[in-house]
Amino acid sequence: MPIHKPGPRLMRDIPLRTAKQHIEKNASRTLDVSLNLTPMIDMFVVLTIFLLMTFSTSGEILFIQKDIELPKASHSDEMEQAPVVIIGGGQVVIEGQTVGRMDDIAEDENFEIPDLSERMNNLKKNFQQLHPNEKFVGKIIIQGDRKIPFRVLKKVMYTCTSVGYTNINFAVLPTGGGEAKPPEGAEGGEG
Amino acid sequence: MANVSAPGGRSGSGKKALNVDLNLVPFIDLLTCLICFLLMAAVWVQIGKISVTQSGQGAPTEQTPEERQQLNLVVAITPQGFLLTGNGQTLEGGDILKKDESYDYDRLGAKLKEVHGLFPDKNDIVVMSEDTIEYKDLINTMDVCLANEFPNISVSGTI
Repeated sequence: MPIHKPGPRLMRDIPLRTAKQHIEKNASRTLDVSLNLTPMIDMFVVLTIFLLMTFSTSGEILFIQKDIELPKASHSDEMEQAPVVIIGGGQVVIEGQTVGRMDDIAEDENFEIPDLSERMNNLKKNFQQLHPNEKFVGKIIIQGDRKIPFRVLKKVMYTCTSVGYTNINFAVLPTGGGEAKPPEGAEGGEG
Repeated sequence: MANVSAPGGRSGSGKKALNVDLNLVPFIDLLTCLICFLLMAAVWVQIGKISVTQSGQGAPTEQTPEERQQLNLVVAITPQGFLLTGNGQTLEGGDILKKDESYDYDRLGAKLKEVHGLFPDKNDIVVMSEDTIEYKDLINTMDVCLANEFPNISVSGTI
């Protein structure tokens, strides 16, 4: 492609006198605006302090489902990581897997829930394989709806105990009436 | 940008003003990142736990004479109310009936406090429940036990 000599340029070859005059007339007015960042930083600091104060190192252990309303208690301990059995919404669920309908479990004459027992056995085996040097403490969390009958709860508890999960914890909503106690003994981990 | 100005130079001269522009951009970046992280990691619903054991688990052990003298305290929850028993015998004033169709937790609490006054070393209790009892009533009863210094709770279903 051949190279041509450049043509006339604005302001150099074409003076644009009117435009130049207009620019020069407004030259005294500068457009330097400084943003006031102080309120924003104040707000950020307050928000950071609030979030740091409410920060929990254990994270979210339980996810509250829509159809489950937890019972309230004024004397409760801090929750620890453990497998969760959910009883509510017409079914019994462990680690996201449904193991039976509540009506069927309530009507069944057997105390042990076979599917729940099988899954808990798998969880126990997994824990023992993953943590060969740790003692199995058999910790389990039961997250039940406040209206479930004891008939279903006792069968879930019996199944947990028969598998080896003897350290049963009931999830409750603390009402703040009593003192919140830190968890005793962090050793043993999930189990 | 934040601007800090202060009279500079030697006293009296006042020639050089010390104008410093603080660069707040990294600070704002840091705060923004921190807020995003904390918002994502925040736990909005605090959940507690009540630890229990199932009554009668494990092999039966031989009781020592001291253990036999200990009070075997049981709170039974029935559709009619509470029944507080010690070593199989209903305690005096231990039959706590429902008041206005709801369980009388105040009276149960008062009775447990009285029992704890008589047996200060005792910290275990068995909560028995009938099949039809709702979970919230069981939790409320255990809450009353915990409030009256009975932290070792066992749950049993046989009445």
